[in-house]
Amino acid sequence: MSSETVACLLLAVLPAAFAFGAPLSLWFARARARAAGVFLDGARAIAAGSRVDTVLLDRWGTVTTGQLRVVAVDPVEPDHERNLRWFAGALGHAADDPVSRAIARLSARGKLSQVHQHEGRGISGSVDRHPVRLGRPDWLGMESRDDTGVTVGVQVDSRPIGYITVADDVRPHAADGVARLRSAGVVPVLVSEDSERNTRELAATCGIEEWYADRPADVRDALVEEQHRRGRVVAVAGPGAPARAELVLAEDDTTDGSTVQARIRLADLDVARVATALAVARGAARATTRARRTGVAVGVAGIVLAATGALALPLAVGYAVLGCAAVVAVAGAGRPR
Amino acid sequence: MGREQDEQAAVSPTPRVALPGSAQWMISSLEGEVRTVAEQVTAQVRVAVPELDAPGDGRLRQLVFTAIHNAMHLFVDEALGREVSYTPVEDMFRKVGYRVAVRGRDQELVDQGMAVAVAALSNELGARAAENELSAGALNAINEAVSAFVGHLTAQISIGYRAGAEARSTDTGLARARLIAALLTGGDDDEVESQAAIAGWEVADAVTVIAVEVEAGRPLSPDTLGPEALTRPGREPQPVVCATADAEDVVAAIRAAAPQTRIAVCWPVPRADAPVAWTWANRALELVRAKVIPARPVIECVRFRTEIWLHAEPVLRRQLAQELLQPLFSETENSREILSETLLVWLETRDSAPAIAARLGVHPQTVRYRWKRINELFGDSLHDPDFVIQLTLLLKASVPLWIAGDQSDFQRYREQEAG
Repeated sequence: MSSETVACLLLAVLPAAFAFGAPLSLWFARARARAAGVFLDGARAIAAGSRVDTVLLDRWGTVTTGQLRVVAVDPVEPDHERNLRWFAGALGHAADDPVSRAIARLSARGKLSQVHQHEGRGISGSVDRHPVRLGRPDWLGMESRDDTGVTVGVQVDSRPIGYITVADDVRPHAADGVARLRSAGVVPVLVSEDSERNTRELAATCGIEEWYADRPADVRDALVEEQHRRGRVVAVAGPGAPARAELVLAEDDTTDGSTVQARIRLADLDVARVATALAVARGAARATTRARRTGVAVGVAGIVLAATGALALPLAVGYAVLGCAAVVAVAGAGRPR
Repeated sequence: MGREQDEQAAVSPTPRVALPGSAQWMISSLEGEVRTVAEQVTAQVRVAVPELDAPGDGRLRQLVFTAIHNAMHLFVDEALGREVSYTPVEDMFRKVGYRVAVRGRDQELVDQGMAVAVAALSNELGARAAENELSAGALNAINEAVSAFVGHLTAQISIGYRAGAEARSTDTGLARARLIAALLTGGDDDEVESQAAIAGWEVADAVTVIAVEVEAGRPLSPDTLGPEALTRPGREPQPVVCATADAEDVVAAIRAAAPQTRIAVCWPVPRADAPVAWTWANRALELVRAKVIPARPVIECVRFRTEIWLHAEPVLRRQLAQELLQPLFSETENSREILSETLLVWLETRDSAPAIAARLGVHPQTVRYRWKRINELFGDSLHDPDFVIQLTLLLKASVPLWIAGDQSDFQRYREQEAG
């Protein structure tokens, strides 16, 4: 075999080698995903993302904005509504829990003093020298309420002035995001540390059929295990990184070094963005497969042409260039569905 | 009449006027004209002895006429056989002598005046005797009775003069002490002027009263304050009185003598108002102790007139507080303080919630909340103008006390409730 024939054969297989050697799909997927607030760090994430069929959605930040919001202000006398908003809101600024943060948005900051947190019960302090307590109604000697969400009582000058109810701030398009997951063949599962009733109502609002209530963050691995036993490939969207999940979708890229699972970093945990991330991963996987197949086909055809002498050296060079271009075009055509 | 004769008359028994019937008849014709004759006699005395008619000594001027008039009345009454008492007339003539002496004038002046008066009276009696064809014996009896009577009164003048001269020669420090006592207790002008004359202290129309919070047993010495200041060591607070024109120097002297001592300087007042000025200066010091007035070395009372006025009747304030502020007393201490403070600002300014909030340093909604609470406590009473005025004054007086830590109103309320 002449050296020219050998050169022609090598040029003919070049598109196939290019398709397998260069991570073209990953490059294209990264570029597209970045524009959507999804940051793919490696091929493992694409591989894992393409296999995921279940995603555990943490309550905070996925279907909700990650915050609570006041849904009801119920004064004991109508005249007290503004007082209720002012005193509760001013005291709310002194605490950092989600309920207090939601109530704090009712008013500006005030002059606070003698603030005390009462673990599991509420918070007390002085607003403009008036003693104010904000917390569980039974702690304040007020009648308990059975509203959806969390209802706290408010007391000023040792007198009850009303109730404030806060609930999850559901993302406006949460149901759409959930529907996109489901249409992509991914089962959304809501996980919440909140009560069963509140979790059920949140799931229903978002169109989620499977949910876990009263589950704090440190038991997420057990939930992943449970899904594994049902034969599912699991991604987890939310803070923290359950070690047993195949894929983690999180806002930050911090890891503790021991985690070995694939990660996708997101601009936020919005369920719509989670759906986009999984779709990008799947699209990238499909594009990789198509590009490799295209490379193999172009390579095989080139070998046949070179072996039959139909591919002279100048033509072989042109063939290799066109073949590589075809591989790139196919790899770049992989768009998420 | 000589001095020795005067002294003899002074110690001799009171003369009895005994006249024959015709003389009594003539004297009785004079009875309705005593005042007219007394005025004529007084006029002649004033003309002859102008020193007894000094415009700056109105009291002496009046005293001379009163003494002549009363003496004539006494003589006529006794001549007509009526029951009489010499004591008031004797006192009056002693006062004349005393006044002349303490002013450093000579007794000759009084004697001269008496001589003029006796001469004028004798002329009048002589004329009347001629008109009534009175016998020489009866006229002689009248003249003798007049002489004895005048001699007795002249002796009283001498007694008074000696007392005045003695007072004048005694220690002026004592006179100064008596003078400040008279000024601060509202003593009569006579006493004040007499003591001022002895003390050599010129009585000003406007005086300044100062209360000095001296340490126990360490009074301010009068020597350190200068002659223009009257003071009375031994009293706490120690009073100082001076003419308003000298007040600045006197305050400086007090500050130099006792730099650590707090003093309350009352605003200038007419001399007659010195007792109340002393009360005000004392009250200013009390209010400093109650933390109602800021504690400064020199308390200018004029700057705290409202506080001094509002706290003029502590018992009345206490009783009104128990009556009108009951709704507040049933609140907690903290709530009572902030509600009363807000109510007082509103009563004083009638401003909007944001303006009141800015003044109190709180959020406007806090003010609205407090206002709702205040309306719940006082109800429709806040629409009664009389109630509002009383409440304003009462809170203006009480809130600073409460802020300063005075809890007596609430303790009294609780005791009443418990009772």
